[in-house]
Amino acid sequence: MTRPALSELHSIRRSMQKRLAFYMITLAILLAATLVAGLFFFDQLKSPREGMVTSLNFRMEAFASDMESLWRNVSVMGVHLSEDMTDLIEERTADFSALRGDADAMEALQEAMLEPLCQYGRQVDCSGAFVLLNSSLGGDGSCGGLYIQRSNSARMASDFLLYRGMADVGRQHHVMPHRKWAQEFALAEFPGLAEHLHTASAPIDRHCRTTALLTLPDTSERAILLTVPMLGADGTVYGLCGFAINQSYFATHHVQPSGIRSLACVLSDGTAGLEIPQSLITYPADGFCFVPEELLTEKGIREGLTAYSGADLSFVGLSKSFLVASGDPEPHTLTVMLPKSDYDQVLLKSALEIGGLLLLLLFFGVVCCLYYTRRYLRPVMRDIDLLKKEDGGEAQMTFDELRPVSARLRFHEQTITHLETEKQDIQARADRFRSQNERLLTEKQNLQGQVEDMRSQTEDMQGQLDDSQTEIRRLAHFGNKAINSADYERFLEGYAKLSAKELEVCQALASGLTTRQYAEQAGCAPSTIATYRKRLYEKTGIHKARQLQLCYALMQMEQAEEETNQ
Amino acid sequence: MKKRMLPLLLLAALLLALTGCGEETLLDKNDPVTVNFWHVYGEQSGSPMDVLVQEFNHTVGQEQGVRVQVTNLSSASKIGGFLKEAQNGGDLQEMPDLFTCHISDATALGEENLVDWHDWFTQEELSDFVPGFLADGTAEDGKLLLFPISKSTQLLMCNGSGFDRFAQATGVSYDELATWEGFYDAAGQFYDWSGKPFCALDYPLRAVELCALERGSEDFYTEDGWYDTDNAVFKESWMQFARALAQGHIVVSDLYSNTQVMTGEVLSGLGSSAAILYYNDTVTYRDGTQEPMDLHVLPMPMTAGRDALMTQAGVGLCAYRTTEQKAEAAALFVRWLTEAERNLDFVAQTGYMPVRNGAFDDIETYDKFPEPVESYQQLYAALKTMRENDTPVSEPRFEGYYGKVTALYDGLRQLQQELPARAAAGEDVDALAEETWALLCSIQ
Repeated sequence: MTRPALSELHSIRRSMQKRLAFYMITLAILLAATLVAGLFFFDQLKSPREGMVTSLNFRMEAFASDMESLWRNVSVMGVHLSEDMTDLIEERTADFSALRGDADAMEALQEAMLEPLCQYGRQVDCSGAFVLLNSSLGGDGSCGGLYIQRSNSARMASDFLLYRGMADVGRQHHVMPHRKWAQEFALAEFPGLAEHLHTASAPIDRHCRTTALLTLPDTSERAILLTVPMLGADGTVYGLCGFAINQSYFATHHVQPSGIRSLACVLSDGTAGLEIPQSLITYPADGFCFVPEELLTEKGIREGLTAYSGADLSFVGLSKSFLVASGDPEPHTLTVMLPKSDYDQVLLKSALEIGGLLLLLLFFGVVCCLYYTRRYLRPVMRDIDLLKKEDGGEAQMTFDELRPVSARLRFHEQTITHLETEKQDIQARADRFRSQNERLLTEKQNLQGQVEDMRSQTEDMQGQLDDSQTEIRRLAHFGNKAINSADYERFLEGYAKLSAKELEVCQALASGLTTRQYAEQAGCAPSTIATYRKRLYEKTGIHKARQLQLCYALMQMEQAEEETNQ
Repeated sequence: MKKRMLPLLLLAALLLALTGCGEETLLDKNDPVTVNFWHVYGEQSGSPMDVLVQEFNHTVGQEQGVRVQVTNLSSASKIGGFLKEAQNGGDLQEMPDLFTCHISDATALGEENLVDWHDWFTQEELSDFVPGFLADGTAEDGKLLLFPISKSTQLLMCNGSGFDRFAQATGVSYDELATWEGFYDAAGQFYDWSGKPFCALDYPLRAVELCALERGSEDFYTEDGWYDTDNAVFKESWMQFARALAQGHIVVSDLYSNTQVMTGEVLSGLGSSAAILYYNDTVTYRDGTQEPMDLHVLPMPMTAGRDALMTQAGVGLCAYRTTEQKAEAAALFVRWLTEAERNLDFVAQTGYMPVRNGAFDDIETYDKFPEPVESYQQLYAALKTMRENDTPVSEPRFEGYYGKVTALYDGLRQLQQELPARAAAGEDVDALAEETWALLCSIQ
């Protein structure tokens, strides 16, 4: 197996759709094979050739049946005719041999025979009836007698024409001379009659025989003559009598029932080959088959059929022997055949029909397999698609078998969702804790900085305090000299009565700022500050800025000492 | 590529459409239509027409889905009756689709029931046929009901062996048979010499008509399709014939004159040129003796000193109107049948005249005559003489005319059984001839 084929096979195995289609096609082929096998075993599977053989056999049976009926009737009536004519001859002629050359006696005998002969002719399924006398007016090689023939227009009227016989006899009975009339039978023109005359013997029903198919003299009509001897009681051969069936009558009155329109049914001599010019042919009721006027050679082909080949045309059919009359030395042959072109066409048509049917079945089977595969798999694929979808679990599944799968998937799906939610919560909390930690660390660092700052401030304040204490002591040193205690006391009393604004101005002036500097610092007018200074001074009893600085520093020193002491 | 293909496809579609329009046909090769055919060629002996039908079925018919089936053979004089019977629902046979008949038989069937060949043949096609033959098949209103396939005329056919003996005994020659006067005179001499009628006439009334016309009788037909018995010239012509009949010099043939020639009852027959198909090569007498026929074919006698006339007879092909498909099938067969060479072969083997312009000249060099070749050559030599010298006259086309003619002939056949004996017994020949005239006058 080639690599692409393996690949394809692998592809089929992997694809649900392809695998199902493959199985269905296999099933279809198995069903078709089973059907064919069943038809074969029940003998219903026949080739077109077998069908043709069956049909031709059926036609052959019908044709043979028709011929048996025809020739049996003609033979029986021929024997009766012989007996009646023999009686007439013996009744009308004392010495049969005296008939030779005697026109009057011959005319009288024919006169007596004509009407009964016409009656037989009307009763029998034949184109003509005849009585051939073993006597003549004309000499050797000819025989007197009567031959009446249905006129072709007798298809519509029961007229007879006098083909052979004395013309006056015919006219008197309104049997007008045939346009190819002759008075006597020229034996050379009727092959077989002379030989039958010589061999005629009793019993007559055993010596009823037919001539080879001959062409009626001076016409184009082919005919077979069934002849029965006319034997006297003393064994004298009076002649022959019988009936004729010619081609046009045969084709008109023995139309064969057949569904095959191009069919020819042939009654021929039993010689090798099919000598059409020596045959009678008839056709189906509404059919026609052109058969050339030539010898068709025979060759067996399959299924018991025979091929009949001419110069230009070939036919296919069946043949069988057929004994027309009991005394015939050789049987005739019945053949039913149709043009080989039609036969080939039937075979071809049948082959095309079978091929077409198989193609149709194949096409139909494949299309159906593919269609139903797709149709079956579509809801499966839809369900699978639904299973694939995250939110598809709520949809109704087509197949019950997939519902547990759907439920399980839905459970797993919910579990996963739940776990993921938890995971997200934990992550969020972790993030929050991380940020809090970071913030705390920052705060810690800030606090440490603040502690450092405070420590440095404390140190600074301690330094300032030390400086202030130094300054205070220095000022106190100088103050003790500059201010008296009463002024100081008055200052303290006035200081306690100062307003907030006046306190601020007091602290600013005590810190060494001038009125103008503080005004600029406080964003006020110097006059405002000067007003507050005036009130301050009035309340505290201070007169100079130096005095205020000393009193304020002394007060600060006393308050610091008190706090330290506490 | 697509640009090239599109015009080609369009062209192919156009051609297909045009071809389809040009060959629109109702015929189907796979479902052949059967055309039932009655004809009058070779009623009793088979004919080349049947062979042609077979050939058509095997060739063109098979290719185009037409099968012609000969379902009846009859004679020109009887087929009209059979057709009428079939049309009236006779239970013997169905009405054929195609048949040969006279124009009077056709019109009796009803013009509306028949195919007008003008519908199936172009004027160009029809222009190739002898106009007089087309006119024979044309109805009063111009419809072409009968298509010409062959035409015949009347000729005199003699048993050459018997005539030689007669000529040797009496000195009468074939030349004397060129005129009616010489003909009747020879007939009298033959009767006196042999005691037998000289000639059997198939269509004696037509001979009388032509003789009267040659003598200047003018129109002698009556409106009801029979003869003006007051026409003196016509009566004189009749009486000339009747006197010979009354004396037994001539007879009306009992069916076909050729059988009476073959049985030696008469020395000659005056009938259709197509009768040559039926002549045997021997004459057989009642006592069984035989002699060669040595058939001599002579032109129909004429009136001395007058312009000769010749009858233009013969049936044509007529199609019964059933379906368009059958009409098309019939037209296909008729077109095939009247192709120049085929028509020439057909008429040359059956003793007819060809129907195409100029085809008659081809017969002079024709070398496929059947036996007896010499008789056929004589026949066409006689026909050529008549065509060159005689004026063709079409047959009467009155409805019911041929029924009256048949009644007349049946009456004459009865009379001719007794008149010669009565004449021999001394009765006045003219009086006997008057009896035949009275018979003619009695027919209505």
